Amino acid sequence: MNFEALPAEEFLDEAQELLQEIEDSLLLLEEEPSSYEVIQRLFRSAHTLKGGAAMVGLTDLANGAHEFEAILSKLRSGTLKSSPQIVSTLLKGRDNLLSLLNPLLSSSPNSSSSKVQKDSTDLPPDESFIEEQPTNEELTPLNRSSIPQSNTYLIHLKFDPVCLEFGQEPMMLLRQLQQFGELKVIAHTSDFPSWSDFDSTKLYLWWSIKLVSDKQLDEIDQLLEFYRGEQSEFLIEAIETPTEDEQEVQQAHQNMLAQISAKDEKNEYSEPSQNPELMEADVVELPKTSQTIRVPVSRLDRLQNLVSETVIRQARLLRLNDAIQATDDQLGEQFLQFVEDNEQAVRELQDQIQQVRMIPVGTIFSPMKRVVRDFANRHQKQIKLDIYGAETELDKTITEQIQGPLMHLLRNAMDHGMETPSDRIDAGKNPTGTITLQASQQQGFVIVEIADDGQGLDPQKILEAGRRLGMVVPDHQPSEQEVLQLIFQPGFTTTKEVTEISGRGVGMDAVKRDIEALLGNIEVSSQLGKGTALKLKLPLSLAIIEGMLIRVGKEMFVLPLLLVTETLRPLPNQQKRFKNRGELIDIRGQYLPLVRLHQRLKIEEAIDKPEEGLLIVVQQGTQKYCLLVDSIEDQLPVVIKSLEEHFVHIPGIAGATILGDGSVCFILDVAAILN
Amino acid sequence: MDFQPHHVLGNFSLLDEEDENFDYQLLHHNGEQWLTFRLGTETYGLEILQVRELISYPESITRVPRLPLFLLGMINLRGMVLPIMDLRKRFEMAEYETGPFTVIIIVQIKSKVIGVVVDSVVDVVNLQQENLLEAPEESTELDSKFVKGLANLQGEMVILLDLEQLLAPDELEQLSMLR
Repeated sequence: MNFEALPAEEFLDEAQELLQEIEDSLLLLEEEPSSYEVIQRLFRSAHTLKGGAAMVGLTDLANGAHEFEAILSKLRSGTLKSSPQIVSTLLKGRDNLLSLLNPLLSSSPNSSSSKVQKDSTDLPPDESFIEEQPTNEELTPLNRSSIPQSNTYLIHLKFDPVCLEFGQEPMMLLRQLQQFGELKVIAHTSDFPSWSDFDSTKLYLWWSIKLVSDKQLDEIDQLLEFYRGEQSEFLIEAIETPTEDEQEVQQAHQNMLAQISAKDEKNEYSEPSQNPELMEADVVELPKTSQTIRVPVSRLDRLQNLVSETVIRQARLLRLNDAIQATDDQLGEQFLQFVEDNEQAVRELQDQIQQVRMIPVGTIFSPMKRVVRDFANRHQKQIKLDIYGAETELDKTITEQIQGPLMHLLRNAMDHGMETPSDRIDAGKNPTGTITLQASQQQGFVIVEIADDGQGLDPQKILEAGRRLGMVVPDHQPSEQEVLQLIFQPGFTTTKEVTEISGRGVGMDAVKRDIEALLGNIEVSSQLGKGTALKLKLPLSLAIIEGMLIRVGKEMFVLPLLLVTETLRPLPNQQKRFKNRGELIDIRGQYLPLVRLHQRLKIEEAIDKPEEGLLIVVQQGTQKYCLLVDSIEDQLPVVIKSLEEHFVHIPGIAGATILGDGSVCFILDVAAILN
Repeated sequence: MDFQPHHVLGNFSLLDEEDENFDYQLLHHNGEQWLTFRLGTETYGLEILQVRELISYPESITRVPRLPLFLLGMINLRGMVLPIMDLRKRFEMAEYETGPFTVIIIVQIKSKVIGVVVDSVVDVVNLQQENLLEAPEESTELDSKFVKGLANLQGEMVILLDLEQLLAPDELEQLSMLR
């Protein structure tokens, strides 16, 4: 394990989050230009970014963040008034900061800090940070020298005694403080224990520092923040008149400590560092101990794989039990008890690892606010994005993989769905259109819905385009739902002119494919003049899904349970045959197409008469089909093994799994089989 | 990671360093090393660096619907699902009952792993330049694009297979179309 790599990697994660926070706050600032709170939050984010960047040696990013921060401090002090224009400039600046970060992100997840250092030298010089020079004159002077006022601070540094074990380097902090201004440091040895108690892994030294710097208190505070540990005691105080010699530094320090211990006694706390409420405004606020840890996804993946293996082995144990019971009844009974207990633990383990891998879908919703804002501005449309259920959790990998498709659907909604404000007024609607992004968890699946109140899909136009593109049989008069399904056909488009955002005719088929690759389902519904809605149904996890084990002839397959709506054995009178629609099954007055799986999969010696086998009703898009199988063998959690890396793409097979007896079983790709 | 010759070969058992007669030349990469195996009456060679391990013929191979017959199906190798190709069927040779010597050679090209069924494994040999033969036009019944070359090994001819050609995606794609 490469410990060196950790701080840089963690910083990259953190930096991304900070830049996202900055974007969110900027968009909020646009809505509430005078909100001091928002500016304050922006300032904090930019500041943390700057400190972190400096710490891992990304000077360009640190300088960029510094300039960004300088503008923010003007906003905060009121010398600059927030306006949409300034927000735009800041958004651009934020994008530039992100572009400094991006080359580092694309390198391997194991890139060491030295690599980060090396890469950063290839980055463009600082001047390019804000490309678009702000039109407002007040924005231009961003020199450090423009803040001539210097302050004097007293800093008390007592690190967590075990900080060295975590690889913290007190010297680094001192050097960084040195860069802030003039430094006077006294090291104290009063905490040293007797030699018999001396533990060479612990840090006993502590420091008193006088710093003369043009930095603000909170800037220094932010730096200290990075070094703060559970047991550390960092205090900082600004003093009016600069003290001249070390004696005074110490004196002032004693006063400060005395103050704190006095407060302690009052509040009956023995350890000053453990009570944040005690500090006054000029004393640093101590952070709450973090209750979360960062873990690389690769580690979770490994853990997930191990759990998957355990799930498979559990199934083997069950099989083994049958054999044991056949030879020794009593031993079999004991063994069964054990297997059942173990089953529970394994289920729990599986649930827990799944929980750990879950992240709120809101993480991919947030960047969409910016996309909507920018699009609306550029295309003179008024669009509002409403987000519900952002806290709904979904597997990290799935969340990442639906981001592209969702973005595509959003762009479609903005570009094709939304009318211009004047058109909307003519149609008697609110000039501002609304796009709703909604996530929820239902029966072990996650539903993500994106709906707009735009013009809706015109079935007539779609049908015309479908006929023009030869996707509809000339004499066939399809139902409205069948017409809507046309938008998922490869190459389908109604727009004749291609816009920047969408309309290239690639899209909905790719979206559908992506969702189906996740063993999910996509449905479209639309009302002309009222709007369009697309509903994605997704499994909670990609590693283990609920599956139905079916038999066709002598072969077994797994069907994702997510697609199954019901199972039945039909009576002969439920089977109908229509002229050009093939065989249909009458289920409570609904006629569903019959699909014989053995025909599609070319399996011989399988049941051919529906009344002798079983029908599984599956949902594909909005359409339902009846799949004929010989029998249903089991319903079980299925560990998905990808077949992608192998030589052949197998049509009709989405993946494989391993059954209790160790044999391989295929998971059916229902969408591909039905096409 | 410690580099051990065993890692190159998986749990391949023909290499035994503790054996007094162990051929250290193998380690020093003097010339190219090939794994030779038998298919019908002929001897073939595969580049040893593409070989991951050897396994015996498994109890069950799950058939894959709609795939060419030479792809027997998929097996579970310690949690990894991988396809198995029957070389006899691939080369349209007479079928052969699997026996105690039937072996599956697990090969890896880039990230792709596949098992190849052969009659039996013969040896690991070191091929020098002087072992190589000029490939005659019609040396075997085999499609010449799968043959990298021919070698003479103590009077016996070894057909050196070009695995990358044999497992090229378009090659497999084309065949799955045919069926």
